[in-house]
This record gives sequence, C-alpha cells and structure tokens, in this order.
Amino acid sequence: MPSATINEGPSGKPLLVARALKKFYGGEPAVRGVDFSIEHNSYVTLLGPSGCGKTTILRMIGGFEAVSAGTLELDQRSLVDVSANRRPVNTVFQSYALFPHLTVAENVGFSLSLKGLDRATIQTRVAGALAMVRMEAMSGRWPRQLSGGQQQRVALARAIINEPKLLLLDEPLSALDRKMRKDMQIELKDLQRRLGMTFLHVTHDQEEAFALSDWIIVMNRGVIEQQGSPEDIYRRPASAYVADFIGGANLLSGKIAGVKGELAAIDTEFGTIEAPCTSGLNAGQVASLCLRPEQISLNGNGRAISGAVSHVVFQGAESLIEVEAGKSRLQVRCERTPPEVGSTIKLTFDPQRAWIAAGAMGQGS
Amino acid sequence: MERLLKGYVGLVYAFMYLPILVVAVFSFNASDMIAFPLSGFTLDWYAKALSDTRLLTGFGTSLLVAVPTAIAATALGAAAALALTRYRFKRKYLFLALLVVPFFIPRIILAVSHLIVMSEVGLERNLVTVIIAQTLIILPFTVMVIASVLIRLDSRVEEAAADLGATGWQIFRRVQLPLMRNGLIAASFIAFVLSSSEYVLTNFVSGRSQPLSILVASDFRFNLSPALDALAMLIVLFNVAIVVVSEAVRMRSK
Repeated sequence: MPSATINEGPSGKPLLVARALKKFYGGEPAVRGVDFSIEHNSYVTLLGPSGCGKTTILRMIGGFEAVSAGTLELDQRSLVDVSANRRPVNTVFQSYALFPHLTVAENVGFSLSLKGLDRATIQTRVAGALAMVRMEAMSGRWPRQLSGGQQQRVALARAIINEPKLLLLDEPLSALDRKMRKDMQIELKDLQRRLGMTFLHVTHDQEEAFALSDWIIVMNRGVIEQQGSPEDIYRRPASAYVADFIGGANLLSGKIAGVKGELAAIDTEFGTIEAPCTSGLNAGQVASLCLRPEQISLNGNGRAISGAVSHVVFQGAESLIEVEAGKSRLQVRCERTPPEVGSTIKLTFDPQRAWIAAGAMGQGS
Repeated sequence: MERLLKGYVGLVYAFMYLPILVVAVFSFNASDMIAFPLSGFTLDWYAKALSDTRLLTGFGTSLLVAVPTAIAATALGAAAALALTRYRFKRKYLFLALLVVPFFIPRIILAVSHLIVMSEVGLERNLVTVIIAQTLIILPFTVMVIASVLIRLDSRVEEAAADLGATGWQIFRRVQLPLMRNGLIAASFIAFVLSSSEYVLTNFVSGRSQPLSILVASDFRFNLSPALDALAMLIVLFNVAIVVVSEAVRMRSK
C-alpha cells in the first residue's frame, strides 16, 4: 500500500502570488495591475502613502473586496471566488474590530466556537493564544476595559488562534503612541518568528517597514514602485519617489549623460557626476542623484558642493543641517558643534556611495 | 436673555403637559362634572374604570393587537434597516422613499384606501386587519430606530466575524443580533405604544371587537365621565412604565 503523504509547508513555491491584480471602484482604478509574490514564513510589508492602494490589496486578499481583474493564488489555488469566511487567511484590523459584546476570551475563541469545538479545547487554545501575546490575565475583561495596546494584542490573538496560512495586518500600530509602537514592532516580529507564520503588514510608516520586514513592496498611486529587501530599497532605490519616501534622500535631478554597465553619468546643476545606478536607465532620461544625509560630510574628500547653512535642527546626539546650494536644499547630518546659520560651508561626498534613480520628484512616474 | 430662554422653554412644556395635568386633577375630583371648582378628593373613578368590563375587554383587545403589531413591525423593520445600512443594492433610495412615504400620507386617506382594498379583496374586518394596517404605518418608525442603531455600529466587526469563518447567518446570529438588541427593544416598545394609541386607521379597519383607543374616543364623545380621566391616567402610567422598564433593560445590558 502506498502511504498517503501530506504536503505541508514550503514546496519551493511562494505562498501567495498576485498577477496583474487590479481593482476599480466604479471605473476609478485603485490598484492598476500589480505583480508580487509572498514567500512562506516571511514578514512582508506593503508600504506607501494613504490612497496608494495598499489597503485595497489587503482587502482583496482578505476577501472583503472583489478582484476586478488579474489572479490571486494562495498555495496555487485561486482565491478569487472563495468567500472571506472560507479563506485560510485572518486579519488584524486597523480599528481592532473586537466584538464589544464578548469578553476577551470569547473574542479570541470566536473562530473555534464557530467550528463547534468543545469547551475544554477552546479554553486551552484560547489560553495558549492569550499567552502568546501576554494577555492571560485579561481573559475575563470586556474590550472597552482595555487600552489600545491591549485591544491590539487581543485582536492579534484572535487572528492567530486559527493558525492561518497568512496573517494580514492593516496598519495595526497606527493608533498607538510612539513608545508603544516601538515595543509592538519588536513583539510582532518576534511573534512571526516563533509561530513560523507568514505576515503581510500594511503601513505608511517606513521606519515600521524597515523594523519588521524581510521584504518590502513600495506602492504609489495603485502601482508597485519597487520591491525588495529593506537594504535594497534603502541603498538602491529604483525611482526618485522611492528614494524620497524611504528615509528622506537629497535628490539632485538631471539628465543621464551616459550609461556604462552599473555606472551612469548624470548632468546635475553641480556638474556631471558618475555614480552607481538603477537598471534600465538610458541616456537623455530624467533621473536623480540620491545622497542620503549620512553620505555627505562637512570636512572630507571627494566631490564638493558649497552652500549656505539655512537651518540647524538639534536632534540630541547629532544635528540636522539644511544647506542651500544653487537651486537645491540639502540635508546633512553633523555630529560635532554645528556651523552657524548663514555661514558658507563645503559639503563633500563620495560618488561611488551615491546612487542614481529614475525620474525626479514632482514628476509622475 | 437667558431668563427669556428659560421662560420660553417653560411655556413649551406647560403647553405640552397642562392638558394632561387637568385630566389628572379631574380623575381625583369627587364630582360627576368635569369642571372647576374642584369638590374634593376621591379614588372612586379609578375603581370604576378598573371594574368596567367593557373597558377591560377593550384593554385586552388592545394588547391582542399591540403585541403582534410590535413583533411584526420590529422584525420587518430590522430586516429593512439591515438592508439599508449593510447591503449595497440598486435603487436603495427608492426603497427608502417607499418605506417612509406612508408616513406623509394623511391617516384618513390611508384608512379609506385600506378599506377599499380590503372590500375588493374580500377581507373581513377583524383584529388581523387591524394588526396588518397598524404594522404598515408603524414600520417607518421601527426602521428608523433600528437603522440609527446599526449606523453607529462599526461594520468592521461584521467583516472580522466573516474573516474568522462566520457564515452570513452566523454573523447575524452571533454579532449583528446581539449588537442591535437595544435597537430592537426600543423599536418594539415604540411600536407597542404607537399601536395602542392609534385611532384613525384602527377605527376604520377594526370589526366588532374594538381596542381601547376606539372605546375611549367614543366614550369621550357620548359618555363623558371622570372615570375616563382615570382611565387616561392609567394608560399614561402604563406607557411610562413600559418606557422605564425598556430603559432599565437597556442600561443593564451595557
């Protein structure tokens, strides 16, 4: 007799695959055709400003919005015609959406009681899920008796108790204060590792995306601008939009003078600069030289730009200096005593560490 | 300015409650005449009202009408309110308009048209026709009360239930119904009070057994007595008691 084998876990294929996924609201496109895949056991964020379509994608995966066009597959099975209650996917909602008429334990055990499991089993698993988020002591409370952070944990426990293949998190930390948000970020990441579950997290906060993700999908106006590891996105932004949205880069726009392998020359107002570049650039195209504030120094060697100090912002260990040079305003970090406002200083940078991305700010991509 | 405003508010309330106060005063007045001067205190009129079998039968008939009307108007109202607040469908505004239009049609016209339709269809006038007619005119009130509760409920909670595996029926039974309970209670009590005091339509479509509102109205015209004042006060007390009980239930459920 051949024994039946159950094929569980990673089979080399991604957990979720979206192809040419689109969503229209009465003719208005919210998602204009996106392609991405999510690997098993990974932490992925959909990052972008409000209205970029990231939440719409999440809601299509959750089953709360119909797919207008394209395909959406989980474990190689189409989700398109599967109703929300039959998808092996659970959601942590932005507003938590706890059931106000049920206790914490009843909220967490909701999905198990729908399945008709016996009381003892439900109690054990609820206790386990609450322990995961360190809320065991609160099981008898009502949602209205909990703080925002506690409600968040209960919502998390409620969503993971059924062991979904994919956990969706819709701006889960946006209602928390800064300190709480930092703590929860660490806990979320830790929880994802311990459970070995796949998390898809929607946020507009790039720091949050960096703190949590294995993979970041940057969105803008219904399309994906770039996807990759956090380091890729930060060091090698594909477009000026991504460079600006992620970590505030200084962008010097200009036309590409020529491309040579992985290097390109760009004509900026400070002359032609040769630097590593994103792929697919052509001579004559508008592009931007990205200089992160930490890549510019006040007394070094390399390319030099001189300008006048216009602002100094004290930030504790260091200061952020804004310098007016030509038509540009550049932000520079300074660890020493900052120069006087109004004084002229020389800024230097190493073009080998800079990056040329496609497009310019204030221009459609 | 503030004194003027207070005076104005006082005047409005006086206008609202003075007539009821007059009825209350005469219900305790030891005289056949409903006129001043007052001639002493008595509870005789209450005793008389409570021992009048005709009025007691009328009260029983009122309950026989009001309870089923309240249940029907609340159930139908809940269904319509859910449709209005939770589902997207074409011509929603037409649906809403058709629900509330009867409210703007004079009762007397509704009554006559009901009568015409009933006789054309061959329906005999009895308590069932009263229940049907009253349910139709009370429905807009119950829809509005329940819809106002549903609008304030976060519909993400229902999405969360679906997300956790609940079917449409389970969402209704385990989430929507418990959360709209207060609205259902409030709507059913409003429907009960409206039903028991409805006169015009009831007068036209009721057959031989007549609810209390019809008896009281005819007695006020042809058989005036302070016992009717006493009865009126009992009805007011009864309605207030209903509201107090329903509010108490609502408060405790919080």
